[in-house]
Amino acid sequence: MVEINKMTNEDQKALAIMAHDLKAPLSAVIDLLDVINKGYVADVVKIKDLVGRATQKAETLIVMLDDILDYTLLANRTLLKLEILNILEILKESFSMMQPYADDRGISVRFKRELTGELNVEGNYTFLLRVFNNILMNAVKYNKENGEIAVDFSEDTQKNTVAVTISDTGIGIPDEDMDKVFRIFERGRNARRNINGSLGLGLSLVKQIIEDHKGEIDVASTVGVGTTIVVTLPLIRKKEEQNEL
Amino acid sequence: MSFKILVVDDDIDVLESRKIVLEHNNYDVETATNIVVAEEILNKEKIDLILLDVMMEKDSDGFVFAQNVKSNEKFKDIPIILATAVNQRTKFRFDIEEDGDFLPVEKFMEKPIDPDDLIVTIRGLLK
Repeated sequence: MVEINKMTNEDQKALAIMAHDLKAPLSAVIDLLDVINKGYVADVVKIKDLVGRATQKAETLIVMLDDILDYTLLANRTLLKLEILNILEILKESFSMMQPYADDRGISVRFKRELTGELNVEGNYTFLLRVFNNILMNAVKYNKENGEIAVDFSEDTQKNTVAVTISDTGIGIPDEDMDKVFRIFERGRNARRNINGSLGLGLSLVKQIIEDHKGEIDVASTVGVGTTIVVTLPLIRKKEEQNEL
Repeated sequence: MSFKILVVDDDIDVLESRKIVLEHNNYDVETATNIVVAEEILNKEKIDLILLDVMMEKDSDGFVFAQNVKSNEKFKDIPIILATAVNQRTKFRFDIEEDGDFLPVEKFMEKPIDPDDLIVTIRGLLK
């Protein structure tokens, strides 16, 4: 961690933004509970509704705090447990977590090829899952209603890498914002503030995780058409293949 | 006739809690989640006070809307309460003494806003 007196202006600004983004939903929780607490509402159904809203809001705060925790955990890489993982299984798991949100917005997900087989990488399960969760959730959040998400993967046997491509039919990222998308706390100009409780840590986290796994991430986007993100990771040869060498 | 208050905030939960508190105190309430809708309401309804969030779709939306209202001959006398989650202890604070010329609003209130304080403030402005 950076000592407080060694913080740069950028660090200070980032902290101030983070404090604001956490304080706004927390204030809303207090507002909702105050209304009940100070006797402004007596109807039980209404009280239940307000408590439900407060709970949901508090849950978005948990998501934000998880982002911060992950970010700090990433800063200390020795804490990462590495194992051999099938990237296709992680994609499947991530897809099943995202599907209800896609269904909710009428967004269809198309797999260009079936997620069967074994493409192994060495990595941390939680963080790689986080990578695809973030990308797929962005593809849902910033898509248009009844839009589409296309998922594809390909193996480069020469470079011994796997590339996973996720495309959406969403709002896209303006050219002038492309260099900002991976920066901490930055959202594209098209992206609404605080959508579903986001601190703007998402894609900077994704990039950090991919780089920690010796991989690469590329983004191509056209405003009003959509965004395509390609994640490339080095493959680990299966034991039997290694024995053959 | 009761006073009509326009509440502008992009958080529907904040709008809901403000609406309950204001209606409980016999104010009529109009709500808007962005400044475009807020402007439409302002042009259609007779608004007596605006309770305005600072950061909405863009960080400066609240400021822009406040400036528009105060530079319009027809609306400039409508009192505005600017609600902000920015911490008053930081240098990013807003203060009516220091920032009043820059931001021509009647009152700043820091979120979360105590409902009883809000009503006292509104009564003071709508005398």
